[in-house]
Amino acid sequence: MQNKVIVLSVIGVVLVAGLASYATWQLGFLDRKNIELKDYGVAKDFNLTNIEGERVLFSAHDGKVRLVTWIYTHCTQGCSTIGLKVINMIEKLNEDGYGDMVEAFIIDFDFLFDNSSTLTEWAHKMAGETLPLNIEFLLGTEREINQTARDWNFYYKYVNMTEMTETTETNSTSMEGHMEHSIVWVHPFIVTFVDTNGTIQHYESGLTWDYNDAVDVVKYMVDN
Amino acid sequence: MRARLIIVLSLFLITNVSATPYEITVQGLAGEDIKLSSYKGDVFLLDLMATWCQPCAIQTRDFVQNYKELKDTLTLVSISVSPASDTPSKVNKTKYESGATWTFAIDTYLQVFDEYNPSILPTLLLFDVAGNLIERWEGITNSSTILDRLNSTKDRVTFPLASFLIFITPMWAVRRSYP
Repeated sequence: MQNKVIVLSVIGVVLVAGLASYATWQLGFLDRKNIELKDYGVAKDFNLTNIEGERVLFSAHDGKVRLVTWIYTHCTQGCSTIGLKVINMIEKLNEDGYGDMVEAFIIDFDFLFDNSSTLTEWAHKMAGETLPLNIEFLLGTEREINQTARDWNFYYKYVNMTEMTETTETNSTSMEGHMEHSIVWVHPFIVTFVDTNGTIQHYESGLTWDYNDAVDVVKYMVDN
Repeated sequence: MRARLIIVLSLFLITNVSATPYEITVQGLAGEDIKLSSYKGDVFLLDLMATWCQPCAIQTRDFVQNYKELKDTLTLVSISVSPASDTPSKVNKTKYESGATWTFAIDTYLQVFDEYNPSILPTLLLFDVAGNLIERWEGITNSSTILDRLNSTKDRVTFPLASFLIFITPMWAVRRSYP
């Protein structure tokens, strides 16, 4: 009798633990799909220049869901990662039939060192020979970038690493992966999601955000 | 008795089944599909990279230098997760120039990117023989770190056996109680 109780208890505990794990997983899954968007206010308009030399007005794309992110071409890991994520998101959305309803704006805020040719090179390096039609790679003058950054609450600051490395001991191995790293801007990694009416509804910040979730958010914004 | 056996075995299977990478398909450099299920039964390392990624080139160089030791213990596959930019010929050029001899592929269907969401390149994913992800490294990682981790991994194959014994023991006890 005692054995029976022990055995049934063990099986019971295992069963309850299994069901609890399954339920947690399911709830997490549902929660992930239950996308909540907030009203973060109206996105301010901007007018910048793309790599073809054409002026691009943000509001000219009203009616589309828009993604806005910020990079500079000498940035090593972070900007490449965020660029890759946005480009892969657009590729995925295009493949899934959302291409006509979505536009991405990748703004190069390094008005000091970047120009049309460096950004064009970066764009092709990241997105291939044929750039997706619904991604704009944008540049601006110092005044335009400062204004746009202020309007979009984007913080950035140039750090002169050349002066810093002169006074800091480094070894060649540790700096090997940071070629061209004398140009450093301190800035956040952020993607802003703007709905078809021009309202900011979602942000992804940092580099570890979930790519699938972000794609789902855009699809949800298009469908609703 | 048979019913109890089925319940116990089902519980064992439910609690031991986890997502594996075997459903994922990538594209080989000759344009062919490569299913990761073809690495079933191997310890394998996915090196998520891109041809434009400078740290990835350093990682590849480290792999080339240590490939003799690595290939004895694992199967290495480098996968470009930047299919928009990385054509087979571009990846092939990177492979050729680095002197790498292992398989390179492209995440054309973005299935690897979907599943493992790399936040930095290179990202290395180490899988055991059962397809369980047992380690994830982000950024350049020495081959020696991977080899050290693999030595500790050998103990992991005993986990399914141990967990099976945990489930089978109560059944054995029931059997003993009701001969």
